[in-house]
Amino acid sequence: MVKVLVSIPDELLEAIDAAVGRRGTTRSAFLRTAARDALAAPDPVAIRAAVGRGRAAIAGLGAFESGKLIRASRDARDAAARRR
Amino acid sequence: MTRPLVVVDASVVLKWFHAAGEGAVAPARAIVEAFARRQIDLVVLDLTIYEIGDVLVRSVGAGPKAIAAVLDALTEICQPVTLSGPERTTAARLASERGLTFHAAAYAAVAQERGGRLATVDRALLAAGLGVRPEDALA
Repeated sequence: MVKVLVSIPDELLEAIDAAVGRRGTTRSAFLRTAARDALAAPDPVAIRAAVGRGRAAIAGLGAFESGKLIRASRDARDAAARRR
Repeated sequence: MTRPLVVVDASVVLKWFHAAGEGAVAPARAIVEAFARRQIDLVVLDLTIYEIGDVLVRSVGAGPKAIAAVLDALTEICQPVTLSGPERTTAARLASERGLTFHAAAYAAVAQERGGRLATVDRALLAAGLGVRPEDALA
């Protein structure tokens, strides 16, 4: 584990230390958890970019209603299972 | 802070990417935007990949590259999850009691077990009272 030097505004450090005290943990442990949570959180820019790529990929498809096609697919799977 | 949890099935996810001829596009897309804004937690099941892949291959004739791009985008938006043991049990019970396919029941089971709402436009899930339409998922 490496040690890093970071700059934090006084008021933010006070809030961190208060939370650390309430939770009975340490600054380092608290900040590690906060960093992990931030890394695991959804990235709005990446999400919107992915949605855009998905739309572009099937932009040429014609009109259909996804609900009806998914239901038809589920019905077909169900019918096939009942025939077995 | 605990955020509301929304489970989406394949019928809603596909509307994130496709609009022509679709109903409820705006509310379906509002769900993914709410997730991007961290207003909700979102769950996508791994079986959504197979359901969307099936429809794109067999029903609308999309090409392999297009299908792969859509499914790649889906997994980048929200990493799909598999059912836990208790969720599998609940899915089996719901499928048996409500006359649903296990696939459909799986979505409802995850929503029930995780304390969330299932957003769907599947008439069978809606008729069974196990899901809500996309426009009601964020209410």
